[in-house]
Amino acid sequence: MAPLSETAKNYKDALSELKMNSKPIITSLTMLATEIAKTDDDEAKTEARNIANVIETRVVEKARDSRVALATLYVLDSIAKNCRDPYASVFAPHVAGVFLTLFAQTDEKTKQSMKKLLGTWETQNVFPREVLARIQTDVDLSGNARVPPPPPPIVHQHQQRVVPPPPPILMMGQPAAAPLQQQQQQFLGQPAPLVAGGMPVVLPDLSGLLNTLKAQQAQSSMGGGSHQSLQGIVAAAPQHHHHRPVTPDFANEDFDFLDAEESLKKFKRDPKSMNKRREYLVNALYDDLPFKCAQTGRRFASKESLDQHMDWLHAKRRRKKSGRACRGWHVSAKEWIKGTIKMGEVDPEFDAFAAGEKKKKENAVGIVIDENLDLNDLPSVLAIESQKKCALSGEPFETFWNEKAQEWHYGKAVKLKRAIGSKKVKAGEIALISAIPKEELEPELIEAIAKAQPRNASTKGAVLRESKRAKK
Amino acid sequence: MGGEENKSDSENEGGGRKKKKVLTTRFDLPKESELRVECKLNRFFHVAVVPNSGTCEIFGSEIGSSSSSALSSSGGVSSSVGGTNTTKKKLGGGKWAFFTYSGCTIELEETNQTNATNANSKIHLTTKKTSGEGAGGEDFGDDTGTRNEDSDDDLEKSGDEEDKDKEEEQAIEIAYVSEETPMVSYLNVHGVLEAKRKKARDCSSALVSSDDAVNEMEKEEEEEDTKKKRKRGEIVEGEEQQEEKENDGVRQKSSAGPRVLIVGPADVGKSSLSKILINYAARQAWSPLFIDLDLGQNAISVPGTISAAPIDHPINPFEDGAHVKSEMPLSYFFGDVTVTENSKEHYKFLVEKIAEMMEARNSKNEHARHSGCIVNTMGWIEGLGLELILHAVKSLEIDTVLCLGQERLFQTLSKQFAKDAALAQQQQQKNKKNKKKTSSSDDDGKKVDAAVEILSLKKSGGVVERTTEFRRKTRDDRFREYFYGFDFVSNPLSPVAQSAFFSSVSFYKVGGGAKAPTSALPIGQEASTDPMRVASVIPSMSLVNAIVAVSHGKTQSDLLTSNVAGFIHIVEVDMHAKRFTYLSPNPGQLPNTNLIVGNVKWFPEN
Repeated sequence: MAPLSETAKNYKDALSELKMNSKPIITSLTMLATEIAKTDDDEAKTEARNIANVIETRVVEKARDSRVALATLYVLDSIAKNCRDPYASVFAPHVAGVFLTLFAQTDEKTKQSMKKLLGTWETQNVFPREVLARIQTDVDLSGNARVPPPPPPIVHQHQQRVVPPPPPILMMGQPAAAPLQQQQQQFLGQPAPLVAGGMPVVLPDLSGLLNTLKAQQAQSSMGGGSHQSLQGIVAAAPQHHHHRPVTPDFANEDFDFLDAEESLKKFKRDPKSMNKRREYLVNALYDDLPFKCAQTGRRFASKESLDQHMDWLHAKRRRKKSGRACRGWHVSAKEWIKGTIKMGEVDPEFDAFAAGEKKKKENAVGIVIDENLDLNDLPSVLAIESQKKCALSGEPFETFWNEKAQEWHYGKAVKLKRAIGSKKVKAGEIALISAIPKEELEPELIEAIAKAQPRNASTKGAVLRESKRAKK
Repeated sequence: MGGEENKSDSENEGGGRKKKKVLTTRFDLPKESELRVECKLNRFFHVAVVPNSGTCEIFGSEIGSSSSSALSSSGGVSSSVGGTNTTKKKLGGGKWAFFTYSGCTIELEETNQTNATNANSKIHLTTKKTSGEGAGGEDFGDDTGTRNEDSDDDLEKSGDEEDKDKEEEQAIEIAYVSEETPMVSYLNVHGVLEAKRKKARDCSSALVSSDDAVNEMEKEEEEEDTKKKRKRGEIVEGEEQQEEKENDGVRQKSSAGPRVLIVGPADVGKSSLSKILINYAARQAWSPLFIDLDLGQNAISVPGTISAAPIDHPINPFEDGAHVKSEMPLSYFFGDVTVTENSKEHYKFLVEKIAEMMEARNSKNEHARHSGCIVNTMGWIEGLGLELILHAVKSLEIDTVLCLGQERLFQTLSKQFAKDAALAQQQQQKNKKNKKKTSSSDDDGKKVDAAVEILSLKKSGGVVERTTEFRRKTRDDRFREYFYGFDFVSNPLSPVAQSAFFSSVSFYKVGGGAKAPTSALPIGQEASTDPMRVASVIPSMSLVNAIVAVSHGKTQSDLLTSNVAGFIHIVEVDMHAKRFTYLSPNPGQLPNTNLIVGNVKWFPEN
């Protein structure tokens, strides 16, 4: 081996720090390597070759220590993907040898991870086709010889389904994701190997999962496309605090429930499926509804719905201030079927109360006069400047033009013939009929009102009864 | 379990006169865990989610973690204890579970009056006359429920003195964090229901758009076709109609949302699960129909009724208490909290009535149809109870049954549904054959029912068995809540006492009269009292304390089929003056003079 340059030595030292699959270290090693090969001259190329050499040697040396070897292989992968020129071509001549050496010596778990890695190389065209083909053939051979099941693609999907990996991992192992990763996504791009290395443990757990067939179909039909777009989202995410970006297994999980009947059956067969947390369902209740009401904690999908909700709250609060609340009567069956009362419209509780108050007032004091009656038909009094409000209730009079008398009159009012009540209201003052206690009303007056009331008015009975009693 | 408590006592000058001790406890909840709190009845505590610590929900309804004070004016008391500026929201007595998907920090705060005449109980003693002093401090476990439900009034009073002492101590009996909850599985069930709703919506919108166009064309073609055929005498009238009917049925069915019925023995969290599912749906902008068939603990209306309410926004526990406050409840008064062999026909009739109303609503309201319904049932699962469940499944056309907490019931129902499905299939085949053979097969235009899907779910570890006594008390609370509201101390509703002459109203009873069992009669003779007969009731002193339903029915014959407008509580009967005094929920006149009397009574404690 040729004596190492200073840079390569340093790099070797740095690389020896990598004892396991660790994203930050891999990231920094990648950046370091990128930095070294930045300039476009021969010197840089030589250094790149040196560094490649350091890495390759390390993989082979540590082939027995699968954790280190795999991590180092991930460094190789990360550098090759993120800094293709010149590294991809520098690695290319030896990568097959390195890969196969490690593959031959390592354990089953690592092999699976490596197969995944190989998959990404194929889809992303990291290395020349011939090189990959060579690796693939050997892997297949050894795979068939020593490792019978499970067929890699299925395993791969399972992993996606069952363990929602944390967001950055998104790109990992997702074949189609790669082309997008260029410099500015370097950061995201690097973790690629991580997932594969970090998660293979889940495998056993997955194989039990059902619907493999369907899952495969889904995967293949969706292809990388959906993931690619997801990746875009994730790439953008870190800048806004999107604390829970769409999870990678979204597509598969969504598919989960497409056939409701089927999924219920699935739950029955497989309790695991039923007790598995599906992040997209949680998100649908929380983060997918971005417009949040600060007061009630309710969330909405759109600004309009939030505004509507705020209006409703506002109206509700105002009503609360305006008086005591009480329970209204339930609607009739007909109204219920129509069911048009939506939030933001009427609150029957309050309206019933208002109506009740009004009725109560009427019940308590005078008699009820239909609102729709012509004021001309009812007793009225000449309007005078000196009194504008009812002497009893303090309500303002309704002034109207009396056709018969050709004068301005106060409607539904009478001049008191004697003093009434404890308020010491004197005779001669004007009062609203509705404000006069029933027992104080003169029979003629009641008669007159009864005549004016339409036949079908609900209050007619009451008025007539009053008049009868008065007559007696 | 991961919950760290720092208790901090602080003295507060409450109202200037009395010293209140405020006790704040903080809990850190890990992911997917819940804080369970049991608070004494008629006592209150406050809760707040520490801002930015995560999200949290009560029975599927999210608690906001804002520092705004808007809610404090209506429901809670805002305070800044323990250095956080959060609004504490007020909750009443009962059992509560605060669940978090993300993990969060929750603060509980209880105010312990050190003075014997505490402000709260004073209010309800003097002005409300419904103080819960008795109900307040009762320990759940102190009564084994062997006593007869309605006859234990005096016994209960003797216990009051001791209880008072207890009450002074703590409102919260226990609060702990549990990491084992079935919430994720409930969420997954919601996910399935959600998929069904979406499917229903997509289905019907697709149908609407394609149908119109296609139908037009097809109709023309078909018409020509049939004309030709008819000429040749090839087509039979009956067949044609039948086909159309079936098509309609299938279409309706495919665009209908999930209809879920929750069954299980008592105390497994049925109503909690139904609330969770309802709230989740409402949070995603659906408006499912919540149907509660539980007579004893009806979450929508008072005990003794079965009810249905469309829910278009999540139930806010801070304003509505533990129950469902609906702006549009549809309630039918059964008049008792249990069903007997004698009255089962009446109960079934009311369930069918609700089914009918749901159909009517669904046919007018697309959104409602897609949203589906969630049905809660009684905790009675044997014998007649099971019969009633099966009847409800059939009449409400339930497609999914969720069985909580009992494997045996699950097996029983599974078998039953499988049998039904097989039968239905046979029937169908028979029908088809018949159709071919005979021309007039108009006897059965029923929809092709898919088998009812049944799923067994785990109950939450937080559910506690309730004693008969506790149930009775919560029933009393329901009546009080109806008239005074759940937060009867700081934000009460105002019912009004009114009086009326017997002559101004009519009292009726459904299925009244002697209850002679069929076995006691000569063979072949039916019981002389029809369980569905509406009979008038002569006012008597026995009406005192009765909860009486104000019917919407205008005539005697309408009463059975009419929903109720509300309830009044008869406070006093004066046989001499032929008058009675009653508590009405609001100051208005009674909306109807037809009143239905049942066996439901309420003895307000004072």
